[in-house]
Amino acid sequence: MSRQLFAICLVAAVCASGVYGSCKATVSSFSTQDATILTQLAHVGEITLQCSGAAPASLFAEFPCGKVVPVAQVGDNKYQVSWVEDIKQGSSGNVQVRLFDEEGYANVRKAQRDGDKVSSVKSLLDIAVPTKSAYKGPWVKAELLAAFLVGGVAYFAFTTKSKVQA
Amino acid sequence: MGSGKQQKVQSSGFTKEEELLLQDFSRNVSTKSSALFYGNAFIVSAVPIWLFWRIHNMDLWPSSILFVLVTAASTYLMATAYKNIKFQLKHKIAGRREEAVTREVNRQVGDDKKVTRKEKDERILWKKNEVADYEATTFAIFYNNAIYLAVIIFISFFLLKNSTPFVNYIFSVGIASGALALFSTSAQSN
Repeated sequence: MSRQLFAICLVAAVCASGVYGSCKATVSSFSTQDATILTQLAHVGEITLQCSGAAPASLFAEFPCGKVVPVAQVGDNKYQVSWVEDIKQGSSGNVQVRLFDEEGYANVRKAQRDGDKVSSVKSLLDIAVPTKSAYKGPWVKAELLAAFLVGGVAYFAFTTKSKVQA
Repeated sequence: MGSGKQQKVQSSGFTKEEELLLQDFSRNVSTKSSALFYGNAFIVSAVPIWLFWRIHNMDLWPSSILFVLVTAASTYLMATAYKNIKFQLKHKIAGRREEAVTREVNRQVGDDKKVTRKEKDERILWKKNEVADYEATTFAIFYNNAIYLAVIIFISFFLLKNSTPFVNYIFSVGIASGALALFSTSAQSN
């Protein structure tokens, strides 16, 4: 019983943290919270790698759209990947990012040159960066609400005056 | 002063009662009503200053001369609109309240033999005018304020939203108060 429980916990931990090969990643993220005066939303994912051996010197990230960008190293075993998107196209949820080391990135470039599928290239590990949607302002604009309210009061005043004068 | 007034009454050819009746239904308002009208007109005319200062981002001190001038003009126009609307409504309200006022005065007087028929009629007339004056005054203020604020919000936020705050302020306040003053002078056809 305890073995089965241990196995379930191990599988769950592996799925949650993304252990692939000899590296394990912990992801934290930040998304733009207030987009009322902005034109684009920014998302930042911070990856902490715990590798059995030496951590990769440089990492590259591939986004679902197919774009591959370098990942910045911000500390010991800490990496940061960031991207922006238009407010209208902004969405919340997990963004699947595939991480490659230099060798993997070379394979990606080769696949791109040859016209092969990049998805067939084995990644170092896949991570999910959670993103949040930004506040885009109230559903109903304040001036529209004010206009409707005062318009209603003015309509009441006008009709009452008409009734009195009728 | 009193003798002068008496002379005026005598020279106009009206009795004192007639003069009082004319005064009740004249366009001229009492000093108290006038102060009420101008006070209300000033408050409602000054409200857009906050709107244009805080929402439309006009600078308060550099625009203070403009604010003072436009608010003063708007106050005058709004007070005029109040007076005219009050004059229009007072007669109608007096007619509508006559029956209720008569009933109330009759109930109050009851079987008091000391009160003559003439005195009772005077009381009814006085009470009716008082009620009509009060209702017409309050409704004129409510009506004009409601329309004024609605017009200002509509013009400043929708019609002139792409204009500079300077132009927006002058036109939205000017049009709102000017239109109210203008339309308040229109005579009812019925």
